Amino acid sequence: MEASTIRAWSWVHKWTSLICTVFLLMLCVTGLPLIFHDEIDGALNPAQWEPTNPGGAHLTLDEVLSIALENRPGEVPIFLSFDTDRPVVNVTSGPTADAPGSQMHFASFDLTSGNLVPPADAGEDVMEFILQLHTDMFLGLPGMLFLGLMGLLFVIATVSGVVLYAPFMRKLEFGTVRRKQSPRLKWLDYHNLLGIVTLAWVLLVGITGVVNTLATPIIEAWKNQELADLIAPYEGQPMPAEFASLQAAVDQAVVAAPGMQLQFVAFPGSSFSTNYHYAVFLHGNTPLTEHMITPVIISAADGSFGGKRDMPWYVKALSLSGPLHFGDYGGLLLKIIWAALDVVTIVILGSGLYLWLSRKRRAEETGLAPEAAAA
Amino acid sequence: MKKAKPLPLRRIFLIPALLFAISLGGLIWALLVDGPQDVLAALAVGLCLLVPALYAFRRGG
Repeated sequence: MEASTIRAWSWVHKWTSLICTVFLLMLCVTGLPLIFHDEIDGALNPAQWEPTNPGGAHLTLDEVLSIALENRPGEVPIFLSFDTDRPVVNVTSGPTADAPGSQMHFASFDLTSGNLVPPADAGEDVMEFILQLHTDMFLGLPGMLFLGLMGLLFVIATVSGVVLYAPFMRKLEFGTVRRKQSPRLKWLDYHNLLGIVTLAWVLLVGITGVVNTLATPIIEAWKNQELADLIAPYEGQPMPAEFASLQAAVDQAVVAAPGMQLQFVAFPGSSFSTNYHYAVFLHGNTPLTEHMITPVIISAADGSFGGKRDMPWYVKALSLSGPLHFGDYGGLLLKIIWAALDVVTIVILGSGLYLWLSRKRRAEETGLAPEAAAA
Repeated sequence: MKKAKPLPLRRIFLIPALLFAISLGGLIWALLVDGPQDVLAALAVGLCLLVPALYAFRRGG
């Protein structure tokens, strides 16, 4: 590689890294507890709840919904979701079906009795704070897109780092760390070694992180294209005065999507449905397809089948980006390794910053340009 | 003093490329399987941390 080419890649590596480092450090630190979100939740909320009638017959969803709305007079149902590991349904209600999140009310019900299930929300505020800091820095969509840009710079910094690895290692065997020479050389070697061996993980987490920041535009695109196409024949239909049976609608959706499991129901008028339909969302039941959802729409007026549409590739990519970014898909050992890789990334970022600062300091001391001082 | 000969690109990237392939394979494999195979997939991912640690302790300068 020619000297001018190396200088150009060095420039790209230096500036893309410098711009994103502070934000990446924040993302790595806040990402650590998020890897163990389930374990932290479990430890703070020990599973003490038991269904009233274990093994007993389940109430219908219409009965549970009726109980839920009796507790919330004047409200309408917005969403209904299902716990995977216990007979519990969660009902989200609000003053109107399109109410903002701040006006929604969430409650869980025992499917065997209709009794309220106490919320398991100890520590939820802290985890929610960390998640929001990690996701959008409390700035909403602009914050998400900004962090996406930082993620993109990080990916470019990583790729340019791989390009620069070759000239730096042309006279060194893999794994060499010159510990007995200057601290700068030692940290340069650690930076190069740790950077090159964690490449697959860093690229995967970086790219999926960027995709995750595009969640809002991706979902909007899906709603405006695929969902709009699915519900076009029903456009302009008024909201039914009385809704058909929810249980029958869900049963019909399950029959229409064989081999899939219920995830949630969006009620007529909510952000994931039409004025006229129950939108029943189901997910696959293999390790891969459990992250992918398929909507089935059922008329809320007469319970007739409205249509089913597989998610387009870009929503599937978004669905897979969640677990591939947070590392919560392959058991505890993978989470521990994920956390170790996260810590190693912090070391890479920190050592990169140290290398830049030490080079700058050396240039100031010698009066040479940083490039010459580093030679 | 004898000047060290530059290493060919293939040699520079051989071990990193193997680690890249194995750890990426592990990351994807873990998404496709459940149960005990998850442990093997996680170990494949973890190899990218183990190998350089062994090298770094063996070498030095």
